[in-house]
Amino acid sequence: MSRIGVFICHCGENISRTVDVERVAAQVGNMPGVAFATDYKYMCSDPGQTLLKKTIQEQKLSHVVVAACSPRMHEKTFRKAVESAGLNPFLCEMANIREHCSWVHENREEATVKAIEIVGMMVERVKKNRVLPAITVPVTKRSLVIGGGIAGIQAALDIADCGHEVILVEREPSIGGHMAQLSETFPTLDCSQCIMTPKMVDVANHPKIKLYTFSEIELVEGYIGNFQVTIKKKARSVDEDTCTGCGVCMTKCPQKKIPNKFDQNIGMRTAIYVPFPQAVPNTPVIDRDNCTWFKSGKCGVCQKVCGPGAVDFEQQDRLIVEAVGAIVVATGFDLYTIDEKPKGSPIKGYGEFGHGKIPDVIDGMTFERLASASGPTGGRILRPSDGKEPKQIVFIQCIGSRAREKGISYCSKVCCMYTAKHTMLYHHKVHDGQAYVFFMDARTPGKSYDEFWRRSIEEEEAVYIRGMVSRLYQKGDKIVVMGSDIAVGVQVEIEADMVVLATAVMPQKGADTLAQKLGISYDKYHFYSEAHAKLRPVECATAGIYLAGACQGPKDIPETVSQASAAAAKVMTLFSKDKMEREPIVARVREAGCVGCFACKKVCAYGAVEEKEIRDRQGNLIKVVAYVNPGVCGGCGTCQATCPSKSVELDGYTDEQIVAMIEAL
Amino acid sequence: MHTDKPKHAFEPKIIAFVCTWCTYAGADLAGTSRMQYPANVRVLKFPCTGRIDPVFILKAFQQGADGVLVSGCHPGDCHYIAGNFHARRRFAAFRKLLEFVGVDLDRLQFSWVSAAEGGKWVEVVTDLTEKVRAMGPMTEFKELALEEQWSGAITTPELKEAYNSI
Amino acid sequence: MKKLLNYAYYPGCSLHASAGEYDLSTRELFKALKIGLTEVPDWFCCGATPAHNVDELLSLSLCAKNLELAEKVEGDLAVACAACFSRLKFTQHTLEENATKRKQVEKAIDAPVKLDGKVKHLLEILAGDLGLERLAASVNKPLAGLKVACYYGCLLTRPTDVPNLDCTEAPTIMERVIEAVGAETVAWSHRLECCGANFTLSRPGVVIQLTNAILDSAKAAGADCIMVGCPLCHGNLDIRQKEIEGVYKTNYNLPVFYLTQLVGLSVGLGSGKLGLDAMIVSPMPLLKEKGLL
Repeated sequence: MSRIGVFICHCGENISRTVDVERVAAQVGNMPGVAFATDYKYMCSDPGQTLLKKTIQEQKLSHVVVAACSPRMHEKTFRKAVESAGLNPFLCEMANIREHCSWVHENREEATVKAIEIVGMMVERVKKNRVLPAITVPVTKRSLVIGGGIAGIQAALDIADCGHEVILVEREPSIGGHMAQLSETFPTLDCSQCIMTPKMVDVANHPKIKLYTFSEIELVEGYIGNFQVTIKKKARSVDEDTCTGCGVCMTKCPQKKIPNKFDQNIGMRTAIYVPFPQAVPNTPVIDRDNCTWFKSGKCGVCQKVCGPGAVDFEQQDRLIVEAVGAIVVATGFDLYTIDEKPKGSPIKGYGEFGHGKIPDVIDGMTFERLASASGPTGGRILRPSDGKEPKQIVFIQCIGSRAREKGISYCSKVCCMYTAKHTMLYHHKVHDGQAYVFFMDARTPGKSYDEFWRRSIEEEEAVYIRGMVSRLYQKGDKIVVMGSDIAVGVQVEIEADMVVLATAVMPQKGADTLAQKLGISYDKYHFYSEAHAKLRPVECATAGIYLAGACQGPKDIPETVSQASAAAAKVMTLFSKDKMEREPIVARVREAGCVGCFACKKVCAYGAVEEKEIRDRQGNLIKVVAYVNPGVCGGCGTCQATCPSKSVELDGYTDEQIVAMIEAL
Repeated sequence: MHTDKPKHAFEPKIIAFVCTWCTYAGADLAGTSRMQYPANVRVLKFPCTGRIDPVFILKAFQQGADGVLVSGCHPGDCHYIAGNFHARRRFAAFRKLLEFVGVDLDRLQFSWVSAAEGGKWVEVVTDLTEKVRAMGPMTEFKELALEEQWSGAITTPELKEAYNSI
Repeated sequence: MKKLLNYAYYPGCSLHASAGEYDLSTRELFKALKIGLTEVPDWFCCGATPAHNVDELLSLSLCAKNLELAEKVEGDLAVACAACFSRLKFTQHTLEENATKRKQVEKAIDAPVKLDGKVKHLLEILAGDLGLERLAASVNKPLAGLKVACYYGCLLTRPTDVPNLDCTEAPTIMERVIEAVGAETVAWSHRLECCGANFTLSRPGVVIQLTNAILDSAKAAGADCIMVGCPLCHGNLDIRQKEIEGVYKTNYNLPVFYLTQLVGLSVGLGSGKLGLDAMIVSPMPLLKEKGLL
């Protein structure tokens, strides 16, 4: 038999003005199971809480109901008080007779009757409440950062500087990401390489950072504080420990005409290569698809010339397992291409621009490589087709972005600014050239951003034409750009030497596959989803996984760096304790009843449901049942309402408790 | 300051199943804003509408509720990512069943009330109360319950025989 | 003789007037390909360009009534004129999407709207229903060595949101059809540009400028002739060509064929059955040079 104590609060006069609290206490006192009922002026006050604690001990109460304000207000207060009196905090419930009763009704009789019923419901509920022990989860204080662009680098450095070990995984042979490709950065025009490469070196030299380049995530298992990550380290064909980075192999490699992806395929590289001179690590990779040795078994020049003997044609892909407690995803972005899109893709190509068939129609990133002092043209703006300097250049914004009919409705955020930058760089390098920009709107929010954009027009003489381009076509060695100037209301035709398209920022290819490995959610464009758009913008809904940079949505460098540091701060918060405590409102499976249909697994937004094998003593498999990982469970209870055999229960909200409340009516 | 409210012959009993993050908070807001609404509603708090088993709705009707309200976060705002979508889907199917069973669907209402919509909560509760009041008491389930309830009395010869043989 | 395919045929006003050769060549070509073509009884104007600019309900009703009439004839509805095709497709699409408009139209035409029948342009029939392989197999006189600039104009592939016969921005259906009968096609820039359409009457200056750009681009790409599927485009490119040559002091001499005329040539139909004599820019010297006549 339970001994329930009920405490009715007057809340000054807030409750007692409309609810006859004495009558409530008297009525409730007669309910079965209630051992004690009283009313008090201010339950949440210090004397009120003392009364509560004292009564629990004197009356040997088994459960407590506090009828007062909303549990959203004081549930924590009273559960804490109950705990200090020696009871499990989850044996205390609140009946909301203020927000849901005294404040919203004027008729004293009606309000009192309602208050009695509300308290009665909670009395019936609390009888069924169970002792819920706090759940603690151990935390492995190492973290994984996926992606070695500026976001990943910043997050890794911040976490490592705090003294925690970081595993940084990068898909390409070098870290640096897209920022390393940029020429100069807005709004200050400082050289990207100059500000980026020191950070890359810091990563390489940091004692707490373990760097895996040319590596990919193969498998992620576990949950917050306890992830096991399998990393595939692809065969580099060069031993990283032995290689000194002298580069002789690259100068001797006979395959010299392979388009370099880092230079947007306008520059060439050898088959054994580092993507760019400042690469970290400065260890070359053999591109096996293009290497003569791997294709025909002949050549092997690089091996012959390598002094330390680092070239290893026999090297194999390796799988490495690392244990980490937190994961920062910083996989960044890719650019929309205007080539014909595969059938069935919701995103369409730009047929009106020739599907990318005109060689002097390039994208913004290619222009960056042309403008970069370390790029394939040494920083001179030259046409890819014939190497001539373009005297008339047209920039077209919003290619793919804000184009619902092309399948992308969002704004890519950085293009207005980088196009303004491009017009400046062009003007600095081609003094007698003229830049035109077709734009829909100039979106330049950000510190010193609008001033920068104005400068491109007012000082650098870029001609901005508000309107979009309908068609591009090659005419001789010119590209005819047909567009409209909606400000003046006329059709515009420009015979350009080169056209630069500000193509949309999109997630990396394979972002969806990685998300599935991690168990995080993503939107229809495959940008990763944060747990809350406003208040939890760097956390995934999946506990222990955090987001940094453009993998979540288009971002510029300052924003990316801020978010990376924020993600690092979240990781450090998690690492500040050896064990993580969480509210024990989690789902539990009754294994005897579970038939293993895994309907719960399908509806679980947290990926908390696992498959568990039940075996007899001989080790024979009896059945496979669901298991809810308490570290991962979000506590929504959707699994319970879905379970056809009623074999999973959400602690604190069991069917018994709910039905008891309904039956009390 | 008490105004005389019209007395009604029938006061319906309304049960509201709400999620804690949006609608419960919205109802709290109605309270802190001192809005007034009929005292007929009793609120049951759930973490998420996704937790609400349709059986609870049946149970509420069985227990004498004249109207049931289910309310949670707006689609896309779920604190638990997608619980309200599962709820929406579940209840869309469940309505058909209720209709088949013979419950007037006007007695069951679904709505989305956010934590900022105290006014909407008042509106939803008031409208449902008045609608159900006009419909009169829900008797079908009560009658059914009476019919099916086994009184415990040993009335038939078969039962008597069985009882005696123990 | 057993027909392979059967269609209801909606010629449209132009084909009974200025584009008589399109009508003639269509009928003859389909006869040669053993495709049945039954003219929709009592058909009338689709409303063309003016109706929908003046009164949406009128434009939808005209097409809806024609669609209803077409239901009485067996087979999908074959349409030759690009404008009729566009209006009929647009009406089908609008009435499928919008129940209110559908009700209004049903009241106006005093009959239920029928949207089940498919509206097909001749190109779709040749490339799709008949198929390029069967089309190629019917060729007696391949158009070898003839360089064709395929001109789509506006209405065959637009508007974007109405289902039409090919990609709006980069269609290939004309090229596929004419290459199947042995011709060469040229890649050129102006195949989707507007010719000025019915400004030809009210503001001919506009048409002369726009059409000149099209002819210029086709000539520059090395085309021998232009192929069209729209009577209005044909009018502008063919009838106005001499005038344009005068204004711009140039010489294009580009015969403008309807697609059915060129395909008709390839299956062995003679000049008389294709109405080649009705063309203003005579194709005879070109066809003789290429050995196609």
